[in-house]
Amino acid sequence: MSQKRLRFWLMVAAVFIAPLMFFSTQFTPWTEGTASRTASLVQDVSYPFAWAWHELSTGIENAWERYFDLSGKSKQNFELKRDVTELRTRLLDYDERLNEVNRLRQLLGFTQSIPDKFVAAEVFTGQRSLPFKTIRIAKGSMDGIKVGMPVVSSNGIVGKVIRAGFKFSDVQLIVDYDSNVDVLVQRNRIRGVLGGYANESCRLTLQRSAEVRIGDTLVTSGIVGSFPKGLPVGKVIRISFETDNVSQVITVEPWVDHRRLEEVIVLLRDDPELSRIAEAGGADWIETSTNPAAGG
Amino acid sequence: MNLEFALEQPNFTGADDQRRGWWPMRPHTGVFWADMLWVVVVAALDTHIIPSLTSGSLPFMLMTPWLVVTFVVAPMHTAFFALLLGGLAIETSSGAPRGMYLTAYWVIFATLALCRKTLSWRHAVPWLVTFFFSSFFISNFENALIFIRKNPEQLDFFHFAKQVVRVTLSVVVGMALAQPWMARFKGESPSL
Repeated sequence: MSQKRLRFWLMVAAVFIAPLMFFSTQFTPWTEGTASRTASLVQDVSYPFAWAWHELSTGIENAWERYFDLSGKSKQNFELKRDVTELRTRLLDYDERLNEVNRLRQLLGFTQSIPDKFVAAEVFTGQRSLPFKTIRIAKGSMDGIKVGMPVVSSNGIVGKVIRAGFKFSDVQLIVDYDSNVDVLVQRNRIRGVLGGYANESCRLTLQRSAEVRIGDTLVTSGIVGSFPKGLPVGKVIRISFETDNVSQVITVEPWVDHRRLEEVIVLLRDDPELSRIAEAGGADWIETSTNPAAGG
Repeated sequence: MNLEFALEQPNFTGADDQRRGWWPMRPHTGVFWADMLWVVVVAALDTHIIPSLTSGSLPFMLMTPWLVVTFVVAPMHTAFFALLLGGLAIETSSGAPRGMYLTAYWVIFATLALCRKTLSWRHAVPWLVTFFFSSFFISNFENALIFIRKNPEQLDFFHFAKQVVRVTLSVVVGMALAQPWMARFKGESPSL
């Protein structure tokens, strides 16, 4: 066989072997480890372009809103004043109630659900045209962000950090097809695992006998994963019963509209289970077990 | 023309006819580092700038037609490094599994490396077919992954409608990107 023909058949073989090799992997994204850090250098190189665009577009938007588009500001100001008055009224006995709740929680041995340490971060942009739903935030490992940390907004949970660069981090949204969150139905404390689904929604499969209603709110369970307990996740918008007469599929719309996110809060809180494993097996053990190439 | 004859041909010469220089931005400039720089810029456009302009509602991927043009017109080593850079840029900016886009682009690269000398790139049809099949392949590679990993119910009508728009946009943009090379080959001898 001539060398050219051999080369040809090697190329043909490579075309078929490459997908087979890929589909035999564990389908984990680039998260931690030396290989991931090296691969993510591409992002560090492209970061200045993204940063320049972000600054330019934000500058133009701010200039437009502050100096030209003032027609709606008067009405908005009126509405904001009304909201402030309403909120001040509500706050009158808030401190007293908060102290009472804290005393009762201490008596019952509960800890605070929201950790003291958090980082507020601006949302840079999102990768939503692909089936993999992520957003990029403008805070990274230099600000203490680590892989696995939960990300929330004022309306509810957003997702978790899957990759931390020096100055940016990527957050896997809860609507991503590979996302799973341990949740409770707030009304009757039924527990389940909420997975990402298409069209910016999530799905939960429960036993048919579980009583769930349209409009029910789901909150984080705090049992598995890094999310603290009781954070709002979304509301039930659709319930369909499977033909097997055993299960029901619940479609959940997240409280957070990921397309309109501007700022998020990263809770500087490690996954308690991962921390326990790291304590027992050593910090390198997780990297070696999740990334065999790193361990050799 | 048979395959053996095609493999014996000298390197694809279309790119060598071009004016060298990093500007304007195009898939193959003739300068290696400029080509890599533009791949990084395309990655930034794909993952940051276009989504911010369209609020993420436009299912579009510029990287695929860009890399396809590079695979066709650039020397093999340039095309290979563009593949590595482009694939990694998409994978490390999303939650995609590691190796997914690298594998998909590798298949397209290897296929085009085998057949690029056998096709007459001065015509629009080979470009059109190549862009269509490349985008279609990338979309279906993602679909296969979703099918394997999760409930295939996710592959609903809305999902496929988005894929159709994405493939169509990729073909349109690809044809626009390939215009300079189509024009350059007008003088090519039809009796190769």
